[in-house]
Amino acid sequence: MSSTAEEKTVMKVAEEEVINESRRNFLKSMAFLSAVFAFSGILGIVRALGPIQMKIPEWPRIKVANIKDLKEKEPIIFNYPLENTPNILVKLGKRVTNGVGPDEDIVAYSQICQHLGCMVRFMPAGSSSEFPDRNLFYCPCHAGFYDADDGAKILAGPPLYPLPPVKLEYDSSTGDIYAVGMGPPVIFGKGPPGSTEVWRDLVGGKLVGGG
Amino acid sequence: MDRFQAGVLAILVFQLVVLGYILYLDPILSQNKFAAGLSAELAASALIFYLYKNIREDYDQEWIAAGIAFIALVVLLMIFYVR
Amino acid sequence: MASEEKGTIYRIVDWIDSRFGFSRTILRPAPRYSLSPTYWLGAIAFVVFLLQGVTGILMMQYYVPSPDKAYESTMQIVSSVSYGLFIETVHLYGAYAMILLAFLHLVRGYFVGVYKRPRELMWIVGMVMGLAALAMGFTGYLLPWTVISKSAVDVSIGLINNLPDPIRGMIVYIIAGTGSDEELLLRFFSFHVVVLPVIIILCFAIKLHMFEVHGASEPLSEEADKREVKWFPDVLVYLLMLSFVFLSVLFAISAIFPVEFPPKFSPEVAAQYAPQPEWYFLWMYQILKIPIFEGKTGVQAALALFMLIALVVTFLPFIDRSEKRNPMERPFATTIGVIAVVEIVILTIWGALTPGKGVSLVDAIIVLGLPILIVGLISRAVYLRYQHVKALKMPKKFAWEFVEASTSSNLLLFFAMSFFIAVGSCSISMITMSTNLFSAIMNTISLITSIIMSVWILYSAEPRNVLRR
Repeated sequence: MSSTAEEKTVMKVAEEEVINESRRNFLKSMAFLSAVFAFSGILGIVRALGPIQMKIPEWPRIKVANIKDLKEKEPIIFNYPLENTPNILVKLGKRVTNGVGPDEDIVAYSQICQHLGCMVRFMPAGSSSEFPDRNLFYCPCHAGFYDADDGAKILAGPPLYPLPPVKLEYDSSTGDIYAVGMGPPVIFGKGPPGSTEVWRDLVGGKLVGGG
Repeated sequence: MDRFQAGVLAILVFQLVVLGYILYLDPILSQNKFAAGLSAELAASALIFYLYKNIREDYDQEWIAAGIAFIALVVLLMIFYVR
Repeated sequence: MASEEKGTIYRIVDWIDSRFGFSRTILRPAPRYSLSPTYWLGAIAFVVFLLQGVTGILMMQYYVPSPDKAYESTMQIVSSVSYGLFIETVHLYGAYAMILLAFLHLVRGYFVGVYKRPRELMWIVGMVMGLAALAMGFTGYLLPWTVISKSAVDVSIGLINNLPDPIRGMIVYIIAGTGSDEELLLRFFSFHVVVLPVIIILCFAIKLHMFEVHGASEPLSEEADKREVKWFPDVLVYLLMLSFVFLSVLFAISAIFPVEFPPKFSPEVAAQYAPQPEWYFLWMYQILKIPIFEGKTGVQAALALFMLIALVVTFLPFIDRSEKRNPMERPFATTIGVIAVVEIVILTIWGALTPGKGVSLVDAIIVLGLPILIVGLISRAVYLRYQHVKALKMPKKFAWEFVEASTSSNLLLFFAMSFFIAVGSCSISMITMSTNLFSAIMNTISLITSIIMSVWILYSAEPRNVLRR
C-alpha cells in the first residue's frame, strides 16, 4: 500500500501525460450529453405556465329546466360546464337514441360550431330547404348543418366533427332536467379538434354553479 | 468499445428513455412519477460526472454501487409506488 | 500538457469568457483539496436558493396574496396547475433544505475556524444571509393562510408585542402594518418575494467577491493537495455533481411525500389546533415554554437571550481572537460548539414530540444539563488523547480531519458519528418523557450505546493519506 503511494507520489508530474486521452474525451462528451438530458427534464416544469387543468374531471351537476316549462321545438340556451360555454337544449318531439324525458326526445348539444366557433341555431324540421325532414342545428357562418335527430352528426358544410352532446338526466319525480357531463368530441377551442379527452371541456374558465 | 464505454453509454440511454417517459406523462395525474423520474435522471448524470471527475480511475467502488442502487430504488418507486 | 486542438464547446466557452472575463474573477482555478463536499455546503445552499426562485416564480403566476384568495389559489396550484403539486412540494422541502444547509455551512465554518483573519467580515455577511433565510422561511410560512401558519404568526407577533415600547411599535408596524389581515399578508408577501431575496443576492455577491479575494480556507493538514484545477470543466463538473446528487434526493423525497395542507384559517377552526412554528424555530419555541420565561418580563428575557445568541454568533470573529484553526487545538471553542449544536437538536426534537404541552423546570434542567455534562466529559477525553498523540510526534492528522474529509470513508465516519450523537441526544430528551420503566431503560441503554459508539469512532478514524487523491 505504501509502495503504491510512493510510486504515485513520484509519478505526480508524469500522471498528467499518462491519462487516457480518448477516454477523457469520451467522458467529456458523455458528461455534456448527460447534463443536457438532465436539464431538459428539469425544464419540463415550465409546463406549469400552461393552461390550468382539472385534476379529475369533476362535472358540475346543474338543473337546466323543468319539463313543464319546455315547449316542443323551442330551444333553451344554457351555460355548461363553464360560464362561457353555451349549449342548446331542445325538446324534439320525436323519440331519438340519446333523448331523455318521458318521450325520450329531450337533447342538448354544445352551441359552439366545431368549424370555427360560431354559435349554431336550432332549425326545426321543415324550416330548411336543404334538409326538410330533419331537425337541424345550423351554423350561419359557413353553412354547416348538424343533424339534431342523430347525435348532431354532420350533414353538410365545412365542420369536421359533430357537436359535443351534453349528458342529461331526467328526474321523473320532479320533472327536472339536469346536465351532468359532456360527451366526446371536445368543445371547440378546448383541445385538439375531435379529441375525445372531454375533461378538457373544464379548462379555461369558471365552472358553473360556483364549482 | 470496451466495457467502460458500454457502461457509460448504457447510462446515457437510460437517461434518454426516462426523459421520454416522464415528458409523456400527464402533468397533473402523474406528477409524482415525473418527480421520481427526474430524480433518477439527475442521479444518473451525477454518476457520469463522478466517473469523469475521477478520470485517473481511482473510483471508489462503494460510491458507484451506492449510486446505481439509489437509481434502481428510485426507478422502482417510480414504476410501482408513487402515483 | 493537454493537446492544443480544442473542441467546439471549448471554442465557444473561450469566446464567451474572453468577453465576460469571469475566469479571471469569479471562476478561477480551485485547489484540489477544496473539491470536497464540506467546502461546498454554502454553494449548494445557493443552488437551492435558485431553485426556490424558479419554483417561486412559477407559483407566483397563480398565487393571490389576499386573505380571501390565498388558500384557494394555493389549492388551485396544487390541484389544477401542471406539475403544481410537484412545484409546491419542492418549494417547501427546498426551503427546509436551504436552512439546513446554511446551518451545516455555519457549523462546519465554526469548527474549522474560517472566521479568523482575514475572513471576519465574510462571516458577518454570511450571518446576515442566514438570518434573511430564516426570515424567508418565516414569511413564506404564512402565505398559504392555513390554520397552523396563521396561528403561528399570530403567536410570533404576540411575542414581539412584549418588547419595550418604541422598538415594539416600529417592528410591529414594519411587519404587520396597521394589523389587518390584508396588510399583514401583503407585507409578508412583499418581504418574501422582493426584499429578502434581494438582500440574499446582494450578500451572496459580496461574499463571492470576498471568496475570490481570500480563496478557499486553508486545509488543516499540511499534506493537502494544493494543485489547482481549472474551473471549466473540472470545478463546474464537481459543482454540478454535488448539486445533482442533492437535487436528486430532494426530488425523490418530493415524489414520495407530496405536501398536504391543513385547512384554511378561520378563528373558529384555529382554536382546535395547537400553534406550531416550523421546525427551524422549534428550539426557540421550546425555550419559551420553560417556566422562568413566563409572563411579560419572562418573554422579554427570552427575546433578549435570543438576541444575545444571534449577536454572539454574528460577532464571533471579534470574540474569538486566537489564530488557531484546528478544532483539536481549541478545545474550549470546539466543546462549546458541540454543546450548542447538540442542545439545538435536542430542543428541536423535544419540541416536535410535545406540541402544545408545557415544560417543567426540572425537565428543562435535566434535558438541557445532561448533554453539557456528557459532551464535556467526551471532549476532555478526546483532547487528552490528542495531546498524547501529539506528544508522540505523529503526523498532524487526527480524527478531526474528517471534518475536511477528502475521502469517502472518513466522510462516512463523520456522518456515522453525527448520527450516533443525534441518537444520543434523542435518548436524553426521551428519558425524561418516558412513561414507564421499560422505555426509560431502553432510552438509557441507547444513550450509553451512542456515547460508546461516538467515542470509539473518534478513536478509530485512521489518518488518511490525502495525496492518494
